[in-house]
Amino acid sequence: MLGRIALPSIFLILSYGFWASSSFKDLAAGVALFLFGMLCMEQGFKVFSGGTIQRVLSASTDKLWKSLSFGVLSTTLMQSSSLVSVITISFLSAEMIGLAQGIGIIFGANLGTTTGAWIVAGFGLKVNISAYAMPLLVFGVLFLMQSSARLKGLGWILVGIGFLFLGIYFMKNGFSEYARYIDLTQYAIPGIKGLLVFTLIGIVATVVMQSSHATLTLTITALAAGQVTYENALALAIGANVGTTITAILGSISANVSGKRLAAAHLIFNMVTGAVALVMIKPLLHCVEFISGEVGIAADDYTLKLAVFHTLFNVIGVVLMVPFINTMVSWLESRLKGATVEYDQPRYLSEASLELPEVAQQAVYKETLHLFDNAFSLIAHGVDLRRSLVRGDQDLQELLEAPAKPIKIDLDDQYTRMVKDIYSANIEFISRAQAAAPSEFAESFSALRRANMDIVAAIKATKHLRKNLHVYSRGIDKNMRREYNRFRVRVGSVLREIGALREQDDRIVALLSLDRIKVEALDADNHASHTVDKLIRQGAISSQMATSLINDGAYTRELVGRLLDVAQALIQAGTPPGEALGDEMSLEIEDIANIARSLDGAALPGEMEDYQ
Amino acid sequence: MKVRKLLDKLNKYTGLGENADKKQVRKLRNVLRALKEKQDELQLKLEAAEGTHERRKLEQQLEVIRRQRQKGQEVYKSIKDARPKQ
Repeated sequence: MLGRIALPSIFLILSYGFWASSSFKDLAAGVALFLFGMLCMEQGFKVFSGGTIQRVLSASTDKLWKSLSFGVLSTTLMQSSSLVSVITISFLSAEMIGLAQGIGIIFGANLGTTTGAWIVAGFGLKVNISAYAMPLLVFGVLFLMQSSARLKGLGWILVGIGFLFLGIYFMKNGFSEYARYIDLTQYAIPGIKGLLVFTLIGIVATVVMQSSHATLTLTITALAAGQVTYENALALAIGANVGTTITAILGSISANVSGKRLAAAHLIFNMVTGAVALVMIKPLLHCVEFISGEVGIAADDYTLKLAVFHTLFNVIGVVLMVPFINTMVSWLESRLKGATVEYDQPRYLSEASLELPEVAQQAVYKETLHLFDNAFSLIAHGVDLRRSLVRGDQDLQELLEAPAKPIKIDLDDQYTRMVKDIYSANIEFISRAQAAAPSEFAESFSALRRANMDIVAAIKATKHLRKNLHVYSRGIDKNMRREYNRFRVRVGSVLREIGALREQDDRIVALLSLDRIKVEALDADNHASHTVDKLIRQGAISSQMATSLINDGAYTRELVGRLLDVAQALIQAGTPPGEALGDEMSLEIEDIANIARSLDGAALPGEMEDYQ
Repeated sequence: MKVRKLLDKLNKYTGLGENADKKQVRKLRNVLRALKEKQDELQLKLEAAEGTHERRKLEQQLEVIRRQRQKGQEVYKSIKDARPKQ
């Protein structure tokens, strides 16, 4: 509703402005170019950010000062606290960092964003900035035409900086032109009322433009042209600081509860900092005067003084809030809890993660593991095996003779509750992420899609197997009971081995270990088939029992095969692009079959003699 | 001569050319060494094993490792052969 009214209103106001004043045209074009420049820069940094930030983050997970510095440096470099907050939310949603660390980065980003005011006030207004914009645009476009993704990224950054400079130039011109005809300072409001009104204007302007940097640049250029009083400009800067949280709040809407907690922390920090700045405005101004005098800023250089003020109140905010980070984390965790749902939902996927291919890949990888964990329970219970038994070290062959203890489970119902929503979300997410990601991620996303599909196929095979297994594995016919228990043991062994593989950090070792598991699984399958043949030959089971065993043997083979495929796909998905060593050394299917055939039944203790 | 030196340095820093496979070779060597150690360990176990089943299971694992090592050595050889002769 608001959108329907707001957008046409903005269009109308702008149209009137363009018709009424040519200076307004310059001003509006300046803001538009500035915002477009920021978009270009964000586009460029996204090419580099994912992997690089991930590497830096992994090295800065332990100390608060490291996450603070990370926030400061990344925001200074990218000149966009909004981009840093959205990236942080995506990392947090994918659980690549913790909440305390995320809050540290956001605090740092607030400090980093103050460098923008220094650049504009100290450099943008002092030199003919448009002269720098032109070559940057030319070089940027040349880079954009290259095929390499990295060069293109560099091109976007250069073009972005070019447009930022051009935007500042137009804003400066617009305000200078205005100054000739109209004196906007006649609308200045002195005192506390002015402070509050202009803070609100700053908030609204930042929410509309979704960039505190743009509001601050507009404020600085207006201040330089004498179109806004120094006091009102300070209030605008405070408003911009509060308004900038809107981007994080919007970014967190689609994020999980961790993302929402971070956006809340961002809002709390900027509100508290803004409130402190408003309440302490007088002492702060004294400090600004003192610092300006000490560093040699001229008494009438209000733009640089504004930059000092902006930095000062953000530093004070960080100093005030840092000791309370852990309290804030506990408070947010107790207040914002994950929705307790009857149907298990995706935990790591978020819209924000889609922005960066590395993060999207990590998010969907973790979500696939989440799906696999749920499937693990369903499959284990589906073949009447307790998870503790599968994960433990008891010899599963001991289960062969005794009647199975039944586990009550409605697989269809459990599938709907534990699997369906996550599976659907994963498949949709992978399709969207794959479409947006560069080609080097295609293999990883395809492997993850395969893993998801294999997990579901394994559950379906379990459902088919359970029908007869439920009856025969605790029946009175010893032969049938043993053979159905053998199916349970085969499934349990593979689940156990795959669980152990997840502990293995080295992907190549994991992939090579999978060959051994495959041989053992195939060996067990061969042995089971031979045993059924023997039972039929000896007339130990009826023909109906034999067909049940043969059919359910096929379901077991399908189930075990799918589980092994899931393991392989997950290992491949986690392998860095271009790393083919594990695949090159892994055995071909013929090799595995040959080894299993040449050493038939080796994996089954105490049964070889009986079988021969 | 200077240009050649410059190109060599550039290759070294960019990871292109003959140095590009160094990391892979190092990794391959490590994997082959680990496999060899595992093979020796299994071989010792096999010599001490008494039951038919135990022996056959160990033989199966040994065979997997033997073939993986063989494939690894082939990869190693192909990398070496692909390197330009000096």
